[in-house]
Amino acid sequence: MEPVNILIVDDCPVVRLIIRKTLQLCPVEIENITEAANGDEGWEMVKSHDFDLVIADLNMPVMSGTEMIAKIRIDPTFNDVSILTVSAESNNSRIGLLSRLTEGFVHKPFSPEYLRDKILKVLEKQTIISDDTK
Amino acid sequence: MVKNMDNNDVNRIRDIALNVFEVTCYMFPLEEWEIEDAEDFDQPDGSVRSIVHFEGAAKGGMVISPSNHLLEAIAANMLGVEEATDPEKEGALCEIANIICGNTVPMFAKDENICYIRPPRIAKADEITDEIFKDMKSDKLQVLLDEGIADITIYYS
Amino acid sequence: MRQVVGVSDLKVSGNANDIIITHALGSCLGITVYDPAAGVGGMVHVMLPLSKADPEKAELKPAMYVDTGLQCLLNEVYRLGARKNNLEIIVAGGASMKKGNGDDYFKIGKRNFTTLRKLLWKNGFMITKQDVGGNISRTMTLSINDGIVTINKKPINGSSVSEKAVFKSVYDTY
Repeated sequence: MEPVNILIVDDCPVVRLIIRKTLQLCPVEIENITEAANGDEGWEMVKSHDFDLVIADLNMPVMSGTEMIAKIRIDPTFNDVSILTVSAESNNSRIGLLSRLTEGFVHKPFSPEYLRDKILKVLEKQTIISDDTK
Repeated sequence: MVKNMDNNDVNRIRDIALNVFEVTCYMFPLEEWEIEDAEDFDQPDGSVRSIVHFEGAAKGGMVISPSNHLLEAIAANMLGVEEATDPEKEGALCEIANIICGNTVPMFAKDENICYIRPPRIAKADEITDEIFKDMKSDKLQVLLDEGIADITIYYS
Repeated sequence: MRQVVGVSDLKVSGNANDIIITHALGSCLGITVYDPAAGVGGMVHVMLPLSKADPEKAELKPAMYVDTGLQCLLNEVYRLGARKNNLEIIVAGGASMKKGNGDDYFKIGKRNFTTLRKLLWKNGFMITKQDVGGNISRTMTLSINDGIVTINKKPINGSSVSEKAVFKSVYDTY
């Protein structure tokens, strides 16, 4: 697997640190980890960088994660970007709707191990798809 | 109009809170027979509180007020460090409130009508939460953990 | 060679012929660490969460407690050449010891596991695989040859039905 570029989008700096630490302990080569504090910043980052994976909260000020995800998915330029949502969202309909736009959902509270396993699953799937299209 | 919560509802919130503290902060609840030791723990003094507003199926908010010892432990444990900075402590408390409230508000959902929570914030020192959420029902509980005590108040209407 | 880890005990090895085993993990935790590059591994069988409960006992039997037991296990495998970044950590046990419909009064199993998780996170580790909780007694085996961990489980209430879980390194493809 090539080294991966990852974007973390969460308004809480503590959560971004936890996700960053989890990524650094993952058995995956990481090229870069970038952070954004809301959906608007996240969207600007996605437009100007080449990410393999976006890990996004939903409930954020300025622009929600849901709105950011919709923007990413409407634009076919970012079809190769995988998205993992990390949220305390508990409504099954809303989670179901999002699952059609994303590659995974991690419900808060989560253990670092659970997040790691989800990240690895998403990245593995991404590798398989990109190998298949070669 | 949302119906009054009963003991079962309050206990559900307690279970949600305990699960959040266990999974995210690596803490466990004290058993009844250990509560005597808890008398040595500092009580929450309201100096640092997190507020999460919600609306939709019900309107209201959740306020979490930890003891000073618990506040320090929440951030340190979440980050896996010896000591966290003050901004990290506030950030960690806000996130805990976000998760507990996010997992609690489905209790108010009715059919397609659900609750939406707003990003959490730290209450100003002079804010009186009973005033912010006046004319609303409220229920209060206290969670006793191995690393400190937290008061949790839920306001709803 | 078979090396048996008793309660509040630990064993480490760099010998590919060794199998390390511990029995009757109820509320206790069996923790294995293995470095596939160095071919070094170890196992500890801990009983209680924190050594501050009885520091004198912890001096005599550090493997009794999660905190001192984990530290000892790591020190011993490092001594044999294991490296922190290579370590695979597998955890079993932490069961609830309630009998029938009674309560798990002391909840030691859960506390052991929570304490371990906190220590690992603080020290920059994550659990590779876990088989914890429930109302089950477990036997755990670590093969030094290949790092494979096997866990045999059966209900604490004495039923004869048993299960087996086998954990290999899951990171070969990464």
